[in-house]
Amino acid sequence: MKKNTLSNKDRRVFLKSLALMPVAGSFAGSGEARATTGVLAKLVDTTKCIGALRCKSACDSWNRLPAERTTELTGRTFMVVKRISQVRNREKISFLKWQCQHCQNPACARVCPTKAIRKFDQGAVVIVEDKCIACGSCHLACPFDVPKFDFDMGVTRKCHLCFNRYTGLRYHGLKSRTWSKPACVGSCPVSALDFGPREDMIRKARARIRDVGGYLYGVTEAGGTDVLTILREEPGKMGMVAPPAELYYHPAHSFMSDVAKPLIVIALGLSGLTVAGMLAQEIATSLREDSDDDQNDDQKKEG
Amino acid sequence: MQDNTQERQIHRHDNAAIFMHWFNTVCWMVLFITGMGLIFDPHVNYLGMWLPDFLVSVFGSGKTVAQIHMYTGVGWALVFFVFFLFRFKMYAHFVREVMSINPARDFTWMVRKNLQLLLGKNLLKKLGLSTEIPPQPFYNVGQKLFAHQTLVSGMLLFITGLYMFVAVEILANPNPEFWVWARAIHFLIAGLFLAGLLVHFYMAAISSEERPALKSMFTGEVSESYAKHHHKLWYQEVKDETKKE
Repeated sequence: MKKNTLSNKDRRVFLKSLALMPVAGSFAGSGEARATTGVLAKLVDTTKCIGALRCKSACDSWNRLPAERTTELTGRTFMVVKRISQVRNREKISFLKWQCQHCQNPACARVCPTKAIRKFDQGAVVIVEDKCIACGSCHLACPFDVPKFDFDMGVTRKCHLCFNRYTGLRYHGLKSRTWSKPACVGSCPVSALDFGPREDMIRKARARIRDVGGYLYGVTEAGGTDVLTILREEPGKMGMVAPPAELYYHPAHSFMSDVAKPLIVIALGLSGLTVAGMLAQEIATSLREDSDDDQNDDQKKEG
Repeated sequence: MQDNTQERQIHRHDNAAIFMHWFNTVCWMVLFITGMGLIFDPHVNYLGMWLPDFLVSVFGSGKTVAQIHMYTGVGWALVFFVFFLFRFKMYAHFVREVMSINPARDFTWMVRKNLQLLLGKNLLKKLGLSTEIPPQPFYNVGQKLFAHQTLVSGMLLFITGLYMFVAVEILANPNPEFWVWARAIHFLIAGLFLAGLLVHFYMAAISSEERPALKSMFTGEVSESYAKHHHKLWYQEVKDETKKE
């Protein structure tokens, strides 16, 4: 069951992407590589959602999760449906299907100490659970507070955009397909969910917003996400905390890149210079001594 | 100086100290290489991404690299503490020597020795500066400073590393807030320690002046003339002791 073919195919995808982009950016994926494969995105329309929770059942079933009754994400609940409008405005009750937003430039992948999180060219941000050591770095990096521990398995788990339903890759013993949309998408009784090329989804969402009004969440939030959500109003008015458009990093991580790294580079530079200076002095001295020795030898011979 | 083989040898390092030194060398090399192989953020990894990429392709996943790193660290700490318990005298001697500081003498040594190392004796003579260096005890000031760094770094690396190990491998539900700070401090201390190690490595393995010191890390002995020249105060101490006996 544990055996999965992810790593092999994954490697192929990875190598292909290596050819297309600089190594430094390979873990996150880049615009160039995606243009060739096409990013797939999920569109969540909260103006249509009736809160039937079929998507939740489909998600639990496909991912073999226990059907927890919760409105907060956990290590065993990859998606929740929250009621986000105020009760007094009864006509405008809206439900928000909430899960990993699959950032285009995922902060979680950057801070992971074991490279367990990968951004697929198709858009999914996936935690390879075999590689996760459950350190929690991604929990703090995530601008949406999505990753959570599964304490039984001892790893961090989250929505993987059902990448194993359309890439044919296997994911930790789950079934795989090549033709399906994510489990939640097909299950929606009112077609509030859609899945397809990101550009198409944005076009569709804009058309819908022209009709009923609203706000498209996910185009710029946290640097752009591959889950797009049509909200009735601005995220702030819907009781959602709007994430910064720029990526946010935990102070400890910023400390590593902005304080620790420069300090170390300076220290290494100073000690490197010292060593280089001493080495140069040593070589100069030994050369001088050699020539002295030669002269001495000559003198001896002459003598 | 040329009849080193004929000369009387003075005992300088116990076998335990020699073992610990080379044990540290191997462990720290493994720890440093795997440690830098765990920084997958190109904005943080100052060596570049080739090392993590290479290690992942060798070991299959970052988790394996992390486990090698963690268990090597824990193994190192265990051996260290076993030695600490059974060879307490060795550590007591080390700490006593390292903490014997004489500001006036040490400062003069720092300035003159560094000038000598960087400019050379000939240039110093031409400039009319003294090439005389204050006599030193068992460790000279440079060695002592590096020892201070080693003690402090070792303790901090041990505390943060053990916390991260226990949190991840044993508790399985760490407080991520502590964990990331522990990791950041671990990273900083290890990087600064590497800078110190660079000088130590040059002095020990490359500098010809200290070649006898490198040899003594295998044999445990130094020649009388080396001891007299480099650690005069210690040499006199040893002499006095042998006289008494």
